[in-house]
Amino acid sequence: MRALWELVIGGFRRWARYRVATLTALLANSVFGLIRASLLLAAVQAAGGTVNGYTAASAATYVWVTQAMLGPVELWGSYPREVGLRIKSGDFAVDLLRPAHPLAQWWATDLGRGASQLLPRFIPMMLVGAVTTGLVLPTQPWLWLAFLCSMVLANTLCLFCWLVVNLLGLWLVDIRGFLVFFMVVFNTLSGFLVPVQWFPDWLRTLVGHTFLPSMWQTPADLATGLARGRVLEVLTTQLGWVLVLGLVVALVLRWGTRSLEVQGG
Amino acid sequence: MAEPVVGSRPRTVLGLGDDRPVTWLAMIRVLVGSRLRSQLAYRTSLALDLFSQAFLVASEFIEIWVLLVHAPVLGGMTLSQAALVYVCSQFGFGLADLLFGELENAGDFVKQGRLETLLVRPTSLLTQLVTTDFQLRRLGRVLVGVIAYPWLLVATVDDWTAAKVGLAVIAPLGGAGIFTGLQVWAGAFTMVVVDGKQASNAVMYGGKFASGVPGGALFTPVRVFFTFVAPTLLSAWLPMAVVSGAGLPHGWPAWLGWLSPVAALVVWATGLVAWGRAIRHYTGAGG
Repeated sequence: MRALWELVIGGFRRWARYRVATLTALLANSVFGLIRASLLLAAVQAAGGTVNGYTAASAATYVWVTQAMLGPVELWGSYPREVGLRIKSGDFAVDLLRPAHPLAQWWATDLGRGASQLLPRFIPMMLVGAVTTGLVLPTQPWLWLAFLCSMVLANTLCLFCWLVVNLLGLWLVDIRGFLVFFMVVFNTLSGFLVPVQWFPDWLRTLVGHTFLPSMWQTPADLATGLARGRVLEVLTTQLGWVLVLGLVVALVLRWGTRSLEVQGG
Repeated sequence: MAEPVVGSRPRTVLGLGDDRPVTWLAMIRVLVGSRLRSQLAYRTSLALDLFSQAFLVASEFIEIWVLLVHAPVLGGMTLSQAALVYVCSQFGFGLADLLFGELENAGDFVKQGRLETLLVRPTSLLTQLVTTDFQLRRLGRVLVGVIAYPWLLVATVDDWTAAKVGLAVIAPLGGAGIFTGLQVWAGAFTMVVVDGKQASNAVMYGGKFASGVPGGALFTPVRVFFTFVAPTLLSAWLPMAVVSGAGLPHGWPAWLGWLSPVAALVVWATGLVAWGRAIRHYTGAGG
């Protein structure tokens, strides 16, 4: 436990250090946020004021909450990509020697990373949204607590999904094709580009049976109030998928390390 | 080892006699040719890369498509007009990315201390960076443009005039000019602010994103910025609005659609000045 706690702190410290990168990432998130907000608001207006449960205010809130989540929740898996590169370079062998399960090590480090982004990425982004388009946010503190839990679960799910993809490197020499493919799948189907509720009915039903909305859409629903009255239900769904994907990563890791040959020392 | 044949002229890699000076074009041919040959060696990998690029381009349109399912007209454009704008923007950007895509990584050369080795070589840094990592997979986006752009033009526009044909030809080329110019800017910027890649991304990729959507739907400050400061909207939305007869926002004249070559020249000229300053600003660590 103590080792894992140290990894959380280490992760936090490491990512809190990239100050220029944080600032410029905020700029990029703001520009994209403004473009996305323009489009969604224009669509809501053209559709006559509401689109599948979203008003102009909740569409704007959805955009800024998801832009803000890009800091703490790694939808694009750059940390699990490091694990993939460690597999390629062979440094992965060191992870196996450490006195904690590799999965727990990665999870702890990524938890620290996510926590370090709350203050410099999440909060300023929400402020930008509040100033530019305005936001409608939950007022009860327990809903914020639920939102925070949901972000942790979403981040864990993103980590596990990307770990599965990156662990393919234990069998394959080059996994770039897989990386691009899953990037597209996660971007389009998790509710990042447009809310899952806006998908055509058949696609929404299809996606609803997968873990994809739990990676991204669920915390956004808690912030916009679209999950009102179903808070426990959506959190349980997320937790269920985390357990399933956790089991999958653990199995893949076990099979992969069995076939792994470490050369020299 | 074979004895050199007396009297035959020794040949260099360039395939030219030693006594002739190497022209810039010949050098580009050799540098790019070597990259191409190495990538063509792995056919399956290349095919997969091209396919995934095309897949990426198609997937990015899903957002616009979903929006237009709910709103019949977005920013004054119908679905087919919006698709035309998107493909035109991808075409221009794809050409630029194919030619100059490596420039945005100029900061990495500074970070890893690899810039000195390039600076001591007797060729401009710009030429070297552009040819360092010429990636064939970037052709995927261009291919989508080559196929989908003429098709969408024919499907969307029915009242062709000579001027419209001209504009349809100019638009992706002007777009490529604007985006390459922005890439020179991005390279200059990341050489000075080494960790600032996300900031140049905000302009470059934000601009690319904005250029591929019906610009009439954008907030006015965003639209003004990406028309007059980082002029990516001139590359697709404005010319395609003119070609397809879509309405422009109040106060936006149609002649703006013709400005992309001029804008490309301006971005390039200022970009080269910035690039020169960035190189002079660079201080090596004696690596």
